[in-house]
Amino acid sequence: MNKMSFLIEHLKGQRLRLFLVTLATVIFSFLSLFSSRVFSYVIDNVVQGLPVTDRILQGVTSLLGGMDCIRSHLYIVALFLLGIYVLTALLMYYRMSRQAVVAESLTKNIRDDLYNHLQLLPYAYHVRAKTGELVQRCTSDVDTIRRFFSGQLEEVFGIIASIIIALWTLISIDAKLAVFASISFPIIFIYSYLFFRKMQKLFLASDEKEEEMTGYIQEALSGVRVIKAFNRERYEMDRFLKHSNEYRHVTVGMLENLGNYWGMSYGICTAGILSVIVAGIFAVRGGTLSAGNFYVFIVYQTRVLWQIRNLGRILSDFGKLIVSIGRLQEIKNEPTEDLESGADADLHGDIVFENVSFHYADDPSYEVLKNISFTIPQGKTVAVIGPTGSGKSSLIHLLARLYDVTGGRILINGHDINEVRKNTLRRNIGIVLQEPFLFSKSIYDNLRIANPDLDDKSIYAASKIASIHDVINNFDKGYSTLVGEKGVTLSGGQKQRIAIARTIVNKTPILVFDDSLSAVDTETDAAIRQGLHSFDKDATMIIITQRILSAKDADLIIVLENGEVTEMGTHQELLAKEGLYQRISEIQNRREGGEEDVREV
Amino acid sequence: MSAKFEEKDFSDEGLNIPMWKKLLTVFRPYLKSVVILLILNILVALSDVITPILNRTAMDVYAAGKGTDQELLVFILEYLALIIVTALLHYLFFRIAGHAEMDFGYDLRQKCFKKLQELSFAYYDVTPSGWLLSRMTSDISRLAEIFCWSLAEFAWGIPLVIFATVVMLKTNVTLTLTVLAVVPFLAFATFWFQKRILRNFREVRKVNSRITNAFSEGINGAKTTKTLVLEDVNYKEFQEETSQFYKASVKAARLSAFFRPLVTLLSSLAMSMILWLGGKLVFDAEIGFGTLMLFTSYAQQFFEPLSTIAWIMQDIQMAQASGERIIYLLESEPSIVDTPEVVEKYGTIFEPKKENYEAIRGDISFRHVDFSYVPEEPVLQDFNLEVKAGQTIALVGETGSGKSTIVNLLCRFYEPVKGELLIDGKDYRERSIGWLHSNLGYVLQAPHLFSGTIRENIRFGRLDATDEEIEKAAKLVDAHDFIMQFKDGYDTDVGEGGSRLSTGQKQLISFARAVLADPAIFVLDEATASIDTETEQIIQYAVENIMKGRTSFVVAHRLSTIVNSDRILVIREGKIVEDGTHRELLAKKGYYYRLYTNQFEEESAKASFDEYANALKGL
Repeated sequence: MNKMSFLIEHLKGQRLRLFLVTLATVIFSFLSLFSSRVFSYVIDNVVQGLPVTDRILQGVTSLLGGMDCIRSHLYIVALFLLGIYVLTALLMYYRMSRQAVVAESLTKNIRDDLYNHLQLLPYAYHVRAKTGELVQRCTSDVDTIRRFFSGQLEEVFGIIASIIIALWTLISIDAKLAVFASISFPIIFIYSYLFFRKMQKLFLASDEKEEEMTGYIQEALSGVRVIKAFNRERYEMDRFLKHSNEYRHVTVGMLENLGNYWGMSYGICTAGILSVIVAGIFAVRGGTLSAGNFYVFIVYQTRVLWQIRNLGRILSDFGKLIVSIGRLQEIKNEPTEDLESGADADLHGDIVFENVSFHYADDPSYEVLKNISFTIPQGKTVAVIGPTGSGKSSLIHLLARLYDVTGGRILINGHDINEVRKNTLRRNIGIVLQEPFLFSKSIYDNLRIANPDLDDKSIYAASKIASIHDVINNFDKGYSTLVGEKGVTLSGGQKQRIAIARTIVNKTPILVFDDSLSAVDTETDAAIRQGLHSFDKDATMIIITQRILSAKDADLIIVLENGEVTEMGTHQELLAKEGLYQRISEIQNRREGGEEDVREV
Repeated sequence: MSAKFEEKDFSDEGLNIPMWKKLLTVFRPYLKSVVILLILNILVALSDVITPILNRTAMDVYAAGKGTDQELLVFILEYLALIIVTALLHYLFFRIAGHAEMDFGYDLRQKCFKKLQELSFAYYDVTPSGWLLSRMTSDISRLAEIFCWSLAEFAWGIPLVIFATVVMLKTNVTLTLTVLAVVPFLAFATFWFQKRILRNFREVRKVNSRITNAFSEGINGAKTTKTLVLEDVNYKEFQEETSQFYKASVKAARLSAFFRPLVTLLSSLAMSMILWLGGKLVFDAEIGFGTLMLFTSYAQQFFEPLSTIAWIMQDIQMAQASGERIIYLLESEPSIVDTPEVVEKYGTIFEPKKENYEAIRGDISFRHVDFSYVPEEPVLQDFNLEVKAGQTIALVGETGSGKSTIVNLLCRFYEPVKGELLIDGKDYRERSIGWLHSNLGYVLQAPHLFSGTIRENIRFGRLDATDEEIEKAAKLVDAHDFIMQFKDGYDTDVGEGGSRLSTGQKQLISFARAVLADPAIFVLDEATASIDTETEQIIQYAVENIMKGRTSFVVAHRLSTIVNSDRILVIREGKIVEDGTHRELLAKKGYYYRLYTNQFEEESAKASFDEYANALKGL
């Protein structure tokens, strides 16, 4: 996909409009240059009575009722001029308002497309994504494109049209003088272009220094307590001044360069104009140039030179546009997940793992899960327990197809989940992630996010089960409290419990808790687990935990070590078997030993 | 600490003269530059008015065949001189404005940053750091820009209009009046539209920041989105935002698209009139072509100054809002300050007189101390505590019991509302804040590291420490081994806020930092976050090492770390309810006993797992 096709694709529905806007821009350039020729027409042909040689002006003469009529009624030309101005004003309005439609449609298309694409990128992508950088691309890179289409593009067209029309007109008036006049065109263009190419580096350097300084201030603010406690105010003051001074230094350098440019380019442009004036004076004196055409030369030269100066600047920005498009294409080139294809199956909770193996795509030699088999009948609770890195989380990632098995298969109610539509599968499995993410909406909206039709009763019921209802009610605004920066800062445990409520409120047949209660105390943990059973008796539950207390009431406990199931059974059965579970209970016995310390005294 | 940050209502309308006066005092050193800028811009305006006159001369005199060759040469040289001078004016303007802008920004930032260093904890409790950051960055930049660039634009726009009018009047009154007739309409349209255009663009920016936010949420919450199957819901919501943005932007653009042509049309009305009336005058040979041209140039030049002035008026309004916030910050008074006598003797935090600092032993006593963060909610009442130098004190109690407050008072991050706090028998307010803090080792709940290397972070404890001393400190708290495991050792970059290190590692480095300071008083506000057993043991060992020979306070959350303390204070509702050694308190079978037995049960289960996991790794 090349850069151009990226734009064309997202300009869907706007291509014709873009063409019309460009056409309007070209006509506008022509008319606004032509308006000056009306003055020269009056000077040369009307006042001085020189014969009209230009074909367009001949047409104008007959349109306005012939030279005699014009001479006696000068206001006719004035009205004609006003007519041209009205036309340019209309074209200007058309161009500005329509180009906004083009630019904003394009922006909307790109943003929507990016957002949707990002949502559909697989879990694995988001695990390793650098979020800050991604957000940066989605905002500032899109903005670069938006800016370009909001004016710069048409400006380029307009300037090029102006140059061509001006040159064409001037050549038809006096070819030699026109060539002489245009000598300064490439000079100012190349100067501007090269200058701003160079300036980009300086702009960037200044931005970087400013970012560094901002970053430093931010850190000094967040670490202000440490600074004070260590009496480092003066030290930080010096460090701050160093950053602040660097920023000042680089930026002053940049501004000085800009000063050179404005001075220099002013000199080049006005010298270019002066050269035409001088040459014009001699031409008029020599009788090869009329006074009116002299006027045209001066006006065109002036207008075109300043525009070319601008052109150099815009074109030097062009590189940024290409880079921005490239960065967005990189995101777009990542393959998305297919959520829609596959069968709609009736899943209610009989889960079978059959010889399931799994390794990450980028490390095939490391088996995260090896040959896992077990069955969970509907309505039963299974606890998965094991040390960090044993593959507990991967187990449930596979169940929801956040990753796909690399060996064996997983069945739910007899359906191989690989053949089930992913959306259907995930709608039937409620997973509470280890580090749940709450959206910056009200708590209420967070709770009903997956199902906006939920009534208050079920939302409150779910919150009560998750032991968060009272906490929420204690906030000033209760359920309407906003989550995040603009609202309350929630503790880890509170977040986890809201996430639990958010998941269980959907009454999915399968519920999975990925170490979701690690941040709440054991009593709350127990209360939540008990509540869950009464809340939804038919739900199949998988609880992943590090706490034995959370596991021991489960119908089945699976002990996972290094990606293998080493033990399986109920709490009592496992206690009787030699292995991890028993060892834990031994260590628990040492608790009694710990209490001896207490008894002793 | 329930005091909320409420931003003062900074007005949008009306000129706040006292504020501008205050700002001007800060700005005084740069007034000279601004005066020069004003003069430069008046000269530029003059040049902009003269150029069309020269063009007229070229046309009416020299092109018409009048004037000698010598006069023509002089004319050309004059024109050239004007170009060179004007180019120089532009160049000088940029240089001087650029320097003034950056210097003023630098100065103002320095003042604000100094103030930030002086303000007390209480200020930071209620002021979001994001708010302060905006003052330090965008507000200051905006002010500097407006002072040094925008104001000077007045000196271009207004003289230009005046000069041009004078020249025109002198040339031809009728034509001048036709040009001037348009000006009121032009002015009215400009001010009417620009106000609305600005308002529209604000709206666009607002929606834009919502979209940025939506992207950020969409990306950060992508995993949750997948598990809850929210793709469609989110996408629809997002599309609503982008549709709003589309509407707002197109609306804003349409207003501009209406305004700009309108202005062109108004000035072209003047142009048409000039063509009609001026054409007649030329026809009657009353004026030359050059004069006609002069008027067309001026008619077109009239718009720009007006538009510039309209923009500056908007700029000044924004500058006023920025200025008010900055003055508000600069006028904030730190709640904890040294008395003039203390400053006289010990200096300030920026200019300490260390030679007058007394050595500290570490006896501490709280005498009838009352304290509250907000007046109606007392945290401590008549609190008394005597601690001998070198003792290790553990503070235990529920969240909100006041145990962190006690150490905050000790560190003089806050001061008693009533009563006094003595260090070595003397009220600590009789010595400087700097004196106390330079004798303090303080490790926060959530360890905070600064960007930079591990070495730099440890050195923060004592700036003149040698590399050997830094390593020694790291070894003392058992941080040396893990540091050496990094490829770059002590020169490893810790990332922003220490993000590249684990919590346990950050904690150990913050211990090393405190050890290096070799403080007489050591305060540890223990982290609540769970860390694995192995690290916990290392930390416990480190803490015990640090506390040797110093007066130490530990705000404890994990009781296992404090069993060896000299005294354990159980705090409930701001009062000491139990006081003794671990054994004594257990024997009492009181509150401490209950806390200890409960927590132990919970921890042992978790600990056993980690232990097992570690054992497995060892195999």
